Amino acid sequence: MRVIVDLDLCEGNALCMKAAPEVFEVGDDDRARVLLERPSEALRAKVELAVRRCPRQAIRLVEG
Amino acid sequence: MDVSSIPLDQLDVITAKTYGEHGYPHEAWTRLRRESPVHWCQPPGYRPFWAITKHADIVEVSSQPDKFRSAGRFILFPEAASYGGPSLEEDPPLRMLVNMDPPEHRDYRKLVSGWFTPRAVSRLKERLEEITREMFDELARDGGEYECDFVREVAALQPLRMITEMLGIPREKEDFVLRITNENFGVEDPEFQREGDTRDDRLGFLQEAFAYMTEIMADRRANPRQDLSSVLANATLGGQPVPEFELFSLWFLVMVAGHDTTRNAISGGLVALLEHRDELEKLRRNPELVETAADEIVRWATPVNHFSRTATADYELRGRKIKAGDSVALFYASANRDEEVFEDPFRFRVDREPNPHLGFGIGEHFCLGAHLARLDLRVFFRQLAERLESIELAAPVQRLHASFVGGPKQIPIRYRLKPAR
Repeated sequence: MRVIVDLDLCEGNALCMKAAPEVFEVGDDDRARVLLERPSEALRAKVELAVRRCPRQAIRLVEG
Repeated sequence: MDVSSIPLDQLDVITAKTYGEHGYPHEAWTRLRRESPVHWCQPPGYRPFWAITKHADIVEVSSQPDKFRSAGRFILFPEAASYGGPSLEEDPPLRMLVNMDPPEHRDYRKLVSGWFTPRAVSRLKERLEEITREMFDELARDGGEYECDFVREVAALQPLRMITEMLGIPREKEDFVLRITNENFGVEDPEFQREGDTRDDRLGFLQEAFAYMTEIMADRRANPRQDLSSVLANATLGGQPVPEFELFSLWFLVMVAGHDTTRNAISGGLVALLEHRDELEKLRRNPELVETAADEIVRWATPVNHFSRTATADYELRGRKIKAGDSVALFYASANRDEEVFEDPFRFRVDREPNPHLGFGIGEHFCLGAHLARLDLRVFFRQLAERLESIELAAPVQRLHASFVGGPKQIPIRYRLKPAR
């Protein structure tokens, strides 16, 4: 799976970082940065939680 | 209200009077969630709409602004207004974030969003604590027992002071801003609505606000300060100044939505704590619980009850066929009691976690001020929990006649607070 953040939507709410700190980091610019663009399957549940929790629905998971 | 024997098509989830007299129609929504979660409503006096009452469905609609636009009918109002002129639905008097769509919505939102990120809001904490302390000091007086209207004299003040300071509006203008705001959200309330026969009479508060904004904008263009009004006064879009109508709409939105909704959350939170004394005691024993209590209060009170979208193409939702042009009303307060999402949804629990409520919406239009609202609530209820000696209702709670943004209008209380140290 591949993680994509729409930076046009992201406003640094940082819930992704709380759900999956291995995969997301929110920096001083109030934008999420993807640390692991292709996280392992072991992280799937956490990443899916981040997708659901994002207040602006700015995160997408692409399979493959 | 017992609605178990009323036919589904006669359930009232929209008239302002029902909200004013009975509060939010939770019994009706509970039936709709169970029996017809995507329900075609044709109440007398309203253009028909789909009532969306499930959490998952509101998320699905909100995440697709291209398929469900906000421009057009974004709030449900009665079709035939009791005064002359076009209805609020046909001809909205403002063009602001809540009735714009991307890409325009994003351009306008970015003009101010930097002021409302978690980091930006966290810098306001100390000032907010000061404002709140001052307010409680005055209310406490010598620590004796006093009475007041909690809505007007307490809940309205703290968020109002914060947003007016952010906008650079001086304190002597507070009463003006409060009145304008009450007339705006109370447009259907017999006590708050303005007198008059024409639309211009009823919406006269917009003219007053516009005149005041024009003054502020001129001043901030000549002498910019470190405030949000200066940011707006000097903002450009694509190298051009922001058109006046849209500029006013955005300024007005920040001003009124920036505090009224939080006032309703604080008021609704107090009512919840009075009705759940065990939760109030939990909070008094452990004020740290405000961290989770803030979101539980927003879930419980859901000050923004609904927004409406318009389908841009045919769309199937839970087997129902929504047609292009249909209105889709998102009832956030219903989603916030959804049995499939919340354990024991009708229990108010200050330590509820996780709490994926939709009180701030979700997606493109997620509440710009959500972090400020949370901070307002946390600071407010922490200080209340630390200083409260006793509190009880002195008379019944009165509710605003409104199905858009609503909540308690009057909460007469008898109280004792620890006096200033």
